[in-house]
Amino acid sequence: MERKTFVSAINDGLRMEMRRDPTVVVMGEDIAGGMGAKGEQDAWGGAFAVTKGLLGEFGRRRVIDTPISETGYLGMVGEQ
Amino acid sequence: MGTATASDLGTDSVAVAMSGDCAANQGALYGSMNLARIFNLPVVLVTEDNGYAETTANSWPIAGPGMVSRAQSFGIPAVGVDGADVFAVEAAARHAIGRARSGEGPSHIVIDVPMFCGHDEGDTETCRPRGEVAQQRRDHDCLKICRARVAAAGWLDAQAIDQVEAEVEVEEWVEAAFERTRNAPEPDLATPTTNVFVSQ
Repeated sequence: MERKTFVSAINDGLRMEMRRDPTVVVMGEDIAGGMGAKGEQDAWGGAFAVTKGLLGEFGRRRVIDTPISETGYLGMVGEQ
Repeated sequence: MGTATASDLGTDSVAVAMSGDCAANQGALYGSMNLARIFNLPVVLVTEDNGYAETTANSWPIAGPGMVSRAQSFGIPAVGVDGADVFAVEAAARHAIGRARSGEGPSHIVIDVPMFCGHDEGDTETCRPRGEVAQQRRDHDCLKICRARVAAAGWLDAQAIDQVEAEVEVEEWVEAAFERTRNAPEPDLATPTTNVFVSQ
């Protein structure tokens, strides 16, 4: 079995699912980072960098930074 | 809100609730504002706005005209203050605390502050434009501005200010504070409820 860090494994898992199904999105606080800011975008990749690099491949429509409103954006999750 | 409610029950204490602009979009804040208003609680809500919630610049996530008007929509008097001006902050705090003590209930103070260092030790701060910190340190350093104001008003001359700065910059002070803390007795088991319930 390939040896990798948890961070890298989670990042791979997210990428695989997003490639497999174009309706899969990832959403959260600072998951790319830099919304509204004048500096670098996706410098962050979330507090633990598990979403780092997804922005470049999938764009802001599917890699969605949110305000810090957990109880609100949990309700944004849904299926068509 | 608990401390404010306790203060309302027989003391002239005022609760001061500090948060950052990161809390601007938390429902709990607006639930608290509503409670503070309808129960007329002696509380000063303070939002310290440094412009960033980790890597998110607050020009994006805060809908509407801003924090001041949000509090005002609950009927809570609110004011925006330049945090680099210590005298303006003191005046706003004094006014809000006075209102709370005289039974007029909650106030909200939104203090704009510069951000001289990152959110945490690992913060690369690359989401910020280059030169922003240097510009803030130059133009929005509350110590520099305070010094200039004090000198301009003639309260202290430059030599006296230098002397104060030299005294507080002595490293032994900091070391001594650490030493005192390390050697301090463990807190009394009776203290965890202090300021949780009304304490006289």
